[in-house]
Amino acid sequence: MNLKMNLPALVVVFPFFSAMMMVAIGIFNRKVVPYIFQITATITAYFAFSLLIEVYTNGPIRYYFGNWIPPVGIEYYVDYLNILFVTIIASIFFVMSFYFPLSVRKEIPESKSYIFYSVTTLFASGLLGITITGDMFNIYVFTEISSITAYALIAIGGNRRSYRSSFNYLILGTIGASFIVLGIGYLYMATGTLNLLDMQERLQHVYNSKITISAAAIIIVGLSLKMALFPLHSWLPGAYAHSPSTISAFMSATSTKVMAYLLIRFVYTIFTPNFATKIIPITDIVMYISLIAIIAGSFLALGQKDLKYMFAYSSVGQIGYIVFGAMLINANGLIGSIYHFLSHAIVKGGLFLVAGIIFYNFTNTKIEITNGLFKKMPFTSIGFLIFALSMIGIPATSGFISKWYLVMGAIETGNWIGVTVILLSSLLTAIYFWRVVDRIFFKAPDDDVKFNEPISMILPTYILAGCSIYFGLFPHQLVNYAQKAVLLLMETIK
Amino acid sequence: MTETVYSLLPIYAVLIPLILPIPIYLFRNYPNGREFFSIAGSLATFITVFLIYTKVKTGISLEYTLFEFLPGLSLKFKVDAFGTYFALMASFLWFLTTFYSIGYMRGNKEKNQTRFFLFFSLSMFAAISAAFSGNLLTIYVFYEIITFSTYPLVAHKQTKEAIQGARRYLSYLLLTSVLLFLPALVYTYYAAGTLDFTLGGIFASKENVNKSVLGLMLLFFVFGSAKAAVMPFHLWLPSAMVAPTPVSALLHAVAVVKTGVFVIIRVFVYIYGLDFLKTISTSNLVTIFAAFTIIVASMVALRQDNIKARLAYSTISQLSYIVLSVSLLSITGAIGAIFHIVAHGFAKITLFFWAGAVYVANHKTKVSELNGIAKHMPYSMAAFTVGALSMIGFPPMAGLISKWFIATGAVEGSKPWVIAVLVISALLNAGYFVPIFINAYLKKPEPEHNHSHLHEAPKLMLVPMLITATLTIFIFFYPEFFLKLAKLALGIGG
Repeated sequence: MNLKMNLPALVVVFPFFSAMMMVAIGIFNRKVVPYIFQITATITAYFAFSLLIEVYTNGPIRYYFGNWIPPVGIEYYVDYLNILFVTIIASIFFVMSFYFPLSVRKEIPESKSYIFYSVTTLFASGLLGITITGDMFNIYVFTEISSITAYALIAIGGNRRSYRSSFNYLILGTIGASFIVLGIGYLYMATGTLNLLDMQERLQHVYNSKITISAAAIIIVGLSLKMALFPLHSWLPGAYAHSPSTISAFMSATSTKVMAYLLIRFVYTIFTPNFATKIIPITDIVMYISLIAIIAGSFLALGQKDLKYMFAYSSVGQIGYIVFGAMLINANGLIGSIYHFLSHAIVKGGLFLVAGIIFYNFTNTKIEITNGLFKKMPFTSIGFLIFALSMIGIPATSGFISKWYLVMGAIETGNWIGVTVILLSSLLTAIYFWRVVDRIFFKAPDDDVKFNEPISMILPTYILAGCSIYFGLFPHQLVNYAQKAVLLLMETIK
Repeated sequence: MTETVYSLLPIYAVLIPLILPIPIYLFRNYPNGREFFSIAGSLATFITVFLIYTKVKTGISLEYTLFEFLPGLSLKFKVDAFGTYFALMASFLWFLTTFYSIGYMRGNKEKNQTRFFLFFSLSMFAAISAAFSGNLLTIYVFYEIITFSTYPLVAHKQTKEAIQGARRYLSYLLLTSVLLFLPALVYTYYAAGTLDFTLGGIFASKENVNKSVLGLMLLFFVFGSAKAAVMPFHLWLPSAMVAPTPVSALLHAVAVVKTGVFVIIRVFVYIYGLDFLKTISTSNLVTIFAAFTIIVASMVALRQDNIKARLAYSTISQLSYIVLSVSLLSITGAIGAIFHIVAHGFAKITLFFWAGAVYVANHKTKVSELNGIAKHMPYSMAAFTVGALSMIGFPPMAGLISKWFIATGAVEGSKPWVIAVLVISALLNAGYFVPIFINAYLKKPEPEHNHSHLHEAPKLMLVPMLITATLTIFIFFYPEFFLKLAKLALGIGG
């Protein structure tokens, strides 16, 4: 069928064009735009799921754009790894799309709202593009699309602090992107191709070349900056804390993780672990940095007075988990990393949704206002509790499964420092979340005002909470998928 | 070997305390209705456990898999003789404690009684589930649930002191279980490929296991199960004494701390296997740590003026009897360990009941305030006498039998020096209980006070106390009931 054949392109191109449409229609009629937005999210998710089924029944797909055969044309390469990520991003986008209208009405000026929807869709299509493409330059292009839209989305909050955060991110993000494009340029110099699989093939012969080595270093620094790996994280807290609730939720769930995906792609598919073991130990270096990131992120989160800041710093630590698992070069570690990608996308996204509901009622998210929140907003509080437990990694939540695999991977490679760090940071996570849980459930509220918990905001939050529990209880299928992906990635090790 | 049968009975036994909070919450404004459900629920649980007992004593074990996370990694119940033994004691004492709690909470006019009974029921759910757990992962999950569900009970009074005590309680238990127990658990899974409790251990059939790491993991297990309060991880117990006395009685003399030693016995007998442990030298270290704890905790108890603190240190010392006994690696020692769970359980709950009675009836919390109190509360003091004598190891109380087994086990396990520890500890036990006798029975009350208000405890508190005291004596004369289960649990007789 024609639709089926073109799924890899549709997943990206459909939201892309839909975003353009929204502007065009929005000029004449602003009221329809939210509906178009929701329909777009639904259809994109549908495409992603069909693609998932397609890939798992028939194996990886190589899709040639306009039927131009690579290395001349652009290739979309969908294997077991990135289809998972594509599906996660599209589903999160779909679930959160229900949350948007109320929150947007509250936080975004009416006159800008249609632009906001359009740019958000564009942002999502950029992220989807990064994950799905099999062409190096295309990766850069989509990175820029998602970055530039992100700067705009953060700044749309409209107060002075969100401008500053946006500008901060703009500078650092641009530096990161320049590094990436520079590295890609070097790789092109070394190999003369931009196609991923082609490059993997050709790169083997030039591992020793100085160009390749410096390309590896430059790309990893660039990616670290974009994914806010400690100590290059300074743009992230402000960007998450001062952007609109919906954006901080969607960005925290997806954007830095897509960069972590790219890291996995570069290390496993392009350079292959052989390069790391034979030439320079980049994976070891990044692994130790990620351990520092885990601890530092947790400690920084400990001292925050604002919920959004706390979640943001916790993200800095959590990205460390994903990177750590990937850099172990061990099957279980990588499964843990992929699983944590999913788990953290769900949980952190959900936590920011919770923060959004609190913001909707209080117009701020300071921790001190959560005293006795359970009495005022019971549903929100219970949602928060579920996410907090998952962050800590309590069994029967998705966080437990990913930590289980990460610890397994660390033990298998004899990395006891890693084991200690992961568990220690779980405890720190427990401390900084328990601080809030304690306030919400056990402190007396300051006043008796009842608050509104709109169903359109509670529902997406609970869907995510349900997912977190579901993937904690029944991880079997997903772990099988992840295993398939990992086998394919590990094939290059000989 | 024992036959395994699929059965829903264990599910019923844990479902009752799990759903009991619902009627308790619904009847929150009708104390009598609420208390009726507490009593009926605990009775129903006990009856179900008793039904399980009638099946298990014929040599079968009941199994029910809740679900399988991953191959070899499941949440499942497998009720064998040892689990039944523990559940039987816990559910019976819960039933008695319910009456006592009603008397205590009403006599003391405590606030938030609904929350109290609600979490009490949840804690019992977790404790009984831990007893029924079929593998290490399941028991770990319920071990953590116990920690969390008892937290509101410990913090019940919500004074600054109570909250601090509860925080310390939570942090000690979480810190050790996550940092020590969890890695040991993951390593066990990595080394053995299974976590199922198997009599004789899961390593015995494996070759190429790294014994030095397993030895270290044994220590991780013992200290990670900090509910057993082996020094140096014992400090949470005295600080948890801020809880209302029924909580201290049931949870901190029976359910919580006994789950700790229960886990340790499970690890020794069913994960490592006593024979396999003979090749691992760190088991001697466990003996030494336990012996140290027995002596030192008793010495600390000597200096405590607060009744509950004295009892807490006595508990710490008595728990190490159990750990010490199983670490002797002889069958007799293991029987002694299992038997002491019950012997100490009944005696210690009597003592805590007594402490609560003294507090509710006469508002006394210190040993030095007890002068001449026996004249006013003769029945309570009689119960106390039985409990204290059992602790010291006096005939005809249950404590003597377990000491007998431990001493025999020490000779069998060729560690005769343990007997010296037992003797010294018996003297020390006498040292901290005798002053209470002297104060209560022999000393004259201070004349400047008016003593007309001193009176006996309310009947609701007195009767459970007398029942447990009677049973402490009863067990001495008819130990066969428990010994048979203990032997069945170890695969001998039955």
